[in-house]
Amino acid sequence: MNLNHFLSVVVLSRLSSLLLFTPITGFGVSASDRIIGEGIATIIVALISVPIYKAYQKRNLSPVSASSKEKLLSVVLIVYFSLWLILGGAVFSYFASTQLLEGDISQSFFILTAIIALYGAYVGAQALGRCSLLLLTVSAAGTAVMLVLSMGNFTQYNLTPALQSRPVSVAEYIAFSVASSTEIIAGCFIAGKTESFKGRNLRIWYGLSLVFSFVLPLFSAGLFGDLANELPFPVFKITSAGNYILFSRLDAVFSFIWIAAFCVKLTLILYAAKECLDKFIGRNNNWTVLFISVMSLVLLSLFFATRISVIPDKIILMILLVSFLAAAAAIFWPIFRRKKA
Amino acid sequence: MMFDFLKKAIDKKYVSVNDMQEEPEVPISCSLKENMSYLKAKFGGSFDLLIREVKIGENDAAFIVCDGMCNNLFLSQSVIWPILNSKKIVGTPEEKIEIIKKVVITDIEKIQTDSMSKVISALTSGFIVVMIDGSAKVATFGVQGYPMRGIDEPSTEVQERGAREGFVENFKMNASLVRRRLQTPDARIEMMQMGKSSATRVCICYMNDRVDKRILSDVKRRLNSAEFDTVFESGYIQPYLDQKGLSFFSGVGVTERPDVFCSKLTEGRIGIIVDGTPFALIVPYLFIENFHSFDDYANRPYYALFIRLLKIISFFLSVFTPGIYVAVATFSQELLPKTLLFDIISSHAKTPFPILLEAVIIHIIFEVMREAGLRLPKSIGHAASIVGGLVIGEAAVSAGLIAPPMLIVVALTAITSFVVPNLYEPMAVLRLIFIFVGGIMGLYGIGVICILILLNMCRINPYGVPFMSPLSPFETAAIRDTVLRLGWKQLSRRKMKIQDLNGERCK
Repeated sequence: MNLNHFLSVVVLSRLSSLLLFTPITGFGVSASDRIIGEGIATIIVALISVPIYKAYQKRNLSPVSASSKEKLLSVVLIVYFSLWLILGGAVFSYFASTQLLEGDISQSFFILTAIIALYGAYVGAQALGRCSLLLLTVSAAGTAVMLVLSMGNFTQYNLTPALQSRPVSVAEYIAFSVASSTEIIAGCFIAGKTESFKGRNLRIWYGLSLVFSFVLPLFSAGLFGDLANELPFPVFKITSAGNYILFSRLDAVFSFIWIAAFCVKLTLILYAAKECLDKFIGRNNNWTVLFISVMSLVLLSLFFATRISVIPDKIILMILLVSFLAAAAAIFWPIFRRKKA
Repeated sequence: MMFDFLKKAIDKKYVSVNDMQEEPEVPISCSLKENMSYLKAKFGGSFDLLIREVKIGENDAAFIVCDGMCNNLFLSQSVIWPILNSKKIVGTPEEKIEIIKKVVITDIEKIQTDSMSKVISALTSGFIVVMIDGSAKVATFGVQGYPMRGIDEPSTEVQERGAREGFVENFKMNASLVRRRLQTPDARIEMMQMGKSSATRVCICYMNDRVDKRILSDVKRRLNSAEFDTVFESGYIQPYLDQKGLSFFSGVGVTERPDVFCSKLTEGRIGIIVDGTPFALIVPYLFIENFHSFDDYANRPYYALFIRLLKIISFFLSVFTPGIYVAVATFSQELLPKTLLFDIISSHAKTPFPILLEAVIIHIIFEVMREAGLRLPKSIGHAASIVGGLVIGEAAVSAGLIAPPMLIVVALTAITSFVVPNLYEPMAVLRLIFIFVGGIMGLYGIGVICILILLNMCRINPYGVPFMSPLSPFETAAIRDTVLRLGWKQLSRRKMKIQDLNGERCK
């Protein structure tokens, strides 16, 4: 797999977290939480993921193997992906029903997105990589246009006071953002098939990710000021502040960026989940099982969509952190197992 | 895959062409009567099997030919007359056959026929077979002269500049058009037969010094594995050369122009010419090439860029305009400026149908009219266009069945769809899909379906060259001839081959 394709998948997955992990989960309530937290989280994700990807790529590893001991690792990873699917799907479904479409059609929209992500997992990592490169190009251009069109409403005074956060809430946000960076785990499933990592490419792509992480929350704070703390999806709402000649309320157009980012993230997770499922069951092409499982999780996430703000944020963080650490251990295992050999 | 059980159930019902009982090879008999009886039995009562019994020396002989497949004047002057009037044909029947082949008739195409099935194949291909009683050998000469269309400008690929020649139905003529343009021994034209009943000649063309041998052997393997009873069009074999699985787009190019065909061969691609059709196939084929034309290389680079951009914009307008119109008018009215919004809403308020239904109806009517216009005899084509224009345009709007903005959208869609004729099929279907999705889920539904289509297009990779190259994987060197077309001085400096576009170095 081309390195640029792999990194575009990773960057798009990271971009979707800007949308998805927002105040309704109880984290990133204040704008400065998000600006500082997301930037630091991106750096931490880069520091964790790059060495892991390099180790996987160099030794042509796969996170799961067919041995009976390591089937347990497949289970751990499947649990992590399932938890994310429920949480992330619930947030996306809430996003779709409140920001995009009204009524039952928003649920159908989420189900359709999940089916397309399943298809993306079916077509394979190479097709996903090529598609991600094109989607990222469009998203980056769209984001730049969106920012330019909204520039007129940006007020630097909305950014003061610069720091409104307590260190604890920033730390919680960072932990939440890192724990839900599924690309650290799922990316390993395709890192082993990628050509060698070049420093220049890594710097460019992760730099782009960092720019997204800082600039977008900063912009939302500059546009909306204190109102950004009340909005459920402040970064998404940047699009509604822009206008072009006679056209205004362009959020319907720019929502494609977020839908594309979420779709790529979901596709990557489903691809990784399918690999885990194959290793666990012991044979390939378990698409029927995967389809039924994903649809069940989608229905669960639809159930939680309107109830997510009721769940205490500490519990959400604990569940995510524990599953992330378990999944990270599962990802580190093949590296150290090889070293011993 | 979850639908494997369905596929197996369907496959059981059908018998493969190769499973049909193969006839054993029948050798040529020494008895002329036996051979003639066998041929008469095989051809049944076909009137076009002509058998002329003659004497060559003291031996009985026969000239056998399929009437209508041969040039009668050529046949009598170059084959029959020399044989019957030659004094050199002496000896045993076998020796006579050898003398006829090597001494009497030396300047006509000959083929080896050592079994009755090959004799039949030669007869149906326009060859004359000479049999002498007492000899198990026969002489077979090519005297083809069946009626065929002359070389004409292709109707589907009209160019401003470039030759006014197009491929015809005869594969030999097409091969000669290729050979005239590529006068090098590296231009190879290999022949094979496909179709049990039709025995259609298929030519595989390539440049030996630049083709990827792996792709070439893959193409040959696919063609050899294709099971056909008849092959009457290159479209029959196109699915075998294409990526497996459903897709709106094809990784196999089609052209009627020999200049386009040859220029693709020089890029390391493989061309397939099928006897009986002027449409040749090219593999591998890229999505961006649907927006290229031969004129781009004859015109100035700035104009080529302008035309290519126009085609790309037309493609997007044709596919997305109706769906986006329906989506915006139904779900996202806030996008529109006030005056435009009032006009659209007031127009649609007078019509009885919802916007989605209106769009679907009018697009289906347009497709019906387009199809009717294609099949209609020219003499009544005028009447159809008047009916279409009056009925759809004037009467429907006046009666309040269709809103004027919808008519403008359809007109724009129709015109832009003809700018890129190669992609008409996917455009026509995708347009309807986007109309449905836009009417149900708005712009967000259109966005999600776009991602699906993009994933499907990125998946197409039948010969290791991704369909979306050189956009993804991005190949810097190839960008000089994608949307932008650099001048010939830059283009000719570095020759790129199609296999260079595989941007992925997989383990």
